[in-house]
Amino acid sequence: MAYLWEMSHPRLQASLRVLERFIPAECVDRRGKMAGAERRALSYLTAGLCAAAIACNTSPPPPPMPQAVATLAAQYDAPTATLDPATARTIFEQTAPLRPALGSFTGLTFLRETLEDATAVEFDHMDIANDVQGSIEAHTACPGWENDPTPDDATAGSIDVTMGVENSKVQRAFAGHATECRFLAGPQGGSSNVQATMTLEVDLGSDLGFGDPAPPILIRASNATIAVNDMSVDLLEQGLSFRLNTDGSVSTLIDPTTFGFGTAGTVLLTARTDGSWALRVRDGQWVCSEGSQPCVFGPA
Amino acid sequence: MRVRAGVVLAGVLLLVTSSAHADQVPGQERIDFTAYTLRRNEFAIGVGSAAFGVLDQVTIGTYVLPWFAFPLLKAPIATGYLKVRDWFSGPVAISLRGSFAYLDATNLSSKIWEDADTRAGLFVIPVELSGSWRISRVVSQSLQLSWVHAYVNGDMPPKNRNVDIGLGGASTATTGSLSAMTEFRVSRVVALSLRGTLMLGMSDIVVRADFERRDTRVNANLGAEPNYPRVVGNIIPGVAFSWSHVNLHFGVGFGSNWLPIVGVPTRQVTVVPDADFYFRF
Repeated sequence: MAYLWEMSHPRLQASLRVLERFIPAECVDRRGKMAGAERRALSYLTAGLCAAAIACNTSPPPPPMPQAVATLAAQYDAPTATLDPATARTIFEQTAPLRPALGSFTGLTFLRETLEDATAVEFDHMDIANDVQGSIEAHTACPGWENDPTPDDATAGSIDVTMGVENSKVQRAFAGHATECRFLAGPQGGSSNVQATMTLEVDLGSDLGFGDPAPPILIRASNATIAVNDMSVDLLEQGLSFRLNTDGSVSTLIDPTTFGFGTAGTVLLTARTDGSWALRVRDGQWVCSEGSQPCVFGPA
Repeated sequence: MRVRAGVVLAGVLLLVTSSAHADQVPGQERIDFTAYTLRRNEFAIGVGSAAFGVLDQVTIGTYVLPWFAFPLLKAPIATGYLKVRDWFSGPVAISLRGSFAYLDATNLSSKIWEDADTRAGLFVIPVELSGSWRISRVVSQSLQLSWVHAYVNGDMPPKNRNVDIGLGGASTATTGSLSAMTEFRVSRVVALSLRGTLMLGMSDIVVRADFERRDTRVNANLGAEPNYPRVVGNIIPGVAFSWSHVNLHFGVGFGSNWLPIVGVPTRQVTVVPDADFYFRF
């Protein structure tokens, strides 16, 4: 009972709070499963001993991995619709309002460099350790609207991501946030000024080794506010997703039924670097371009 | 011919008796890998360490060679230890030794990075709990439990003119090991020894690093399991000669080499040499 009183004593509690600042996080995380003051007393005792012994050398756990975006990635990899030439052309025309938005995300291809920079440093080139795990937090300034080679995140905004590391690889899915991130978008590096604030969930398709080139990056954005030139759109509850491909193209998954088509399945709409568009379907892809020419079917 | 000379020499050494300063006499035992301490006002100085008996139960000392690491590491490794033994004289002794070793590796890292403005340091804290039992006039047995915590930190500023990656951070690892040493006193001068060390465990290696590459700032908080075989240890048979002031230990064993002071074993299983030479007065 005496220590229960002590634990509730304000001065002691304040001291413990000060102590807590000097205790490594992983020590405090080791709190027992007992309840109430007993748990608290045991926690601080354990943490104190832990800190005193400087022995809390356990690998930090990776952050929780977002699951929804990994499920979405499987849908991106395998669109399910089959289209005839007329339906392909019609669907392409129906996506006209969507295409500028998708094109604007070509300006986010700098994220591929960011990912490669964040995972470039090899943890153990001497092979003295294995099963690396933990977390990597990366912060990068967005390119801005001025094509400044050294952009300032105070004016150009920034992107922060926290990647998990497990089994010596970067986990395929992780979360992040874009804060008033400014970039240029449009054909050939673009003439549109885009600013985006959004919560990000990212999927790489598979776990990534340190130093490996960035694979296609699937981004699921939510709570997004996106402004293109003077037009601003709030997508507070709605999510949107797009994939930054290795060749610089950008794709998004669409459901033709949302455009009033009875076609079942999903189609992957891709803004290609040559200015053309592709509708990837289950058995191949339709390549379409602005104008009235019919879409051309070919292998994916 | 050489063998015969060796046998003769060994015979002479076995027959030699010496003064009461010899290690093999109760109260004059070797202090490494045992729980024993120097006597009050006694000095021991040699290639391995220098020590002074503040009291019969308290010895302070330092490891000698690391101080002369300057040409190699561009800085000395400062070391020191305090060993405290129980106050009860008897066949059983227990002691605790706390040590430290610090290397300011800034000059070394600057040299490695071609005069870049860098900072680096290594701090090692070994703690040893030892117990020794003089079972008979001839045989002694010692056990030593060692705990070594190593901390490395350093940084290089971003946009360094020699490296395009700014890097800073710290790494820690903790090792625990158990040593056992059996001594057979053949004469007052000569003792045979058999020493073995077994790594009980090694913590994960934890690294906290901040670095910047191009315009991406990265904070990594990572840990990893050390890449060691299931069993890490060594066994070293040796011989110790102790005259009135001069002491010589040497042995050759097999297994992993424990890095001196740092207390981390090597992964390679190989020949393990062991030698020490010191004066005691």
